[in-house]
Amino acid sequence: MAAGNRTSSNAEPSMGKVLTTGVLAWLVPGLGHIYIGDRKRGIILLVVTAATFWGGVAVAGVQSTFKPRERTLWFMGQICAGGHTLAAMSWGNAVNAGEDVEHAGFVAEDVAVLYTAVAGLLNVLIIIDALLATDPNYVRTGVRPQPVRGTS
Amino acid sequence: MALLAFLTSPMTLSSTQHLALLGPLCLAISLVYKTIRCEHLRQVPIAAVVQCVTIIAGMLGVGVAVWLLYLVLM
Repeated sequence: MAAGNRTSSNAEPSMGKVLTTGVLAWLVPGLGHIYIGDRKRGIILLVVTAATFWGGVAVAGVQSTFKPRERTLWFMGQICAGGHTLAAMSWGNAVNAGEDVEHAGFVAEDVAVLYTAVAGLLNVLIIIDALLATDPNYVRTGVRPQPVRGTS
Repeated sequence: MALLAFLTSPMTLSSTQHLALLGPLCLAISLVYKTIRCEHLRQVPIAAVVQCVTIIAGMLGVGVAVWLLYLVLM
């Protein structure tokens, strides 16, 4: 249901819909919103999260960005980006298995880990919002509505 | 192929470039946060830019305050 077109309803969202929304939102940030019908919002979230994640990966390369044993807490943030992290990690492992692998310096690696972990943590907010938005009565209150001129 | 090579070749960052990467990160955080908080999507661009500038100004303010504290104490 698109933002601004909601009507008041007492209908509870089904557990299946909530679960599917949560899984899709984790797997591909923004896909949960697209699934529940908030397409424009979902596309914005998908593009911004993917750009942040893969922009970070580009700084250090896929081979140096994910180190679950050395940077465990950061990896917990990274894994929240779901499908992006799984794809990049698999690719990184394949690259690391090859010969003459070029690894990033300390600064580039720090930036890459920060960007990807922030993308993952942003996806936690996106998942929560997608789950809340499965309720047809959910209203976002982040920006105050503009006062309408001519009314007292 | 060029994109694949781009994602497997690490960059070398100077300290200035390192600091400049704060901007896009703050913008991404602001865009995502305002996209999930604003009821109408047309409110997002301005709200996100305002929040991004606020975050960067706040961090610069904290940096200057800590630097001045360092100068006073040392």
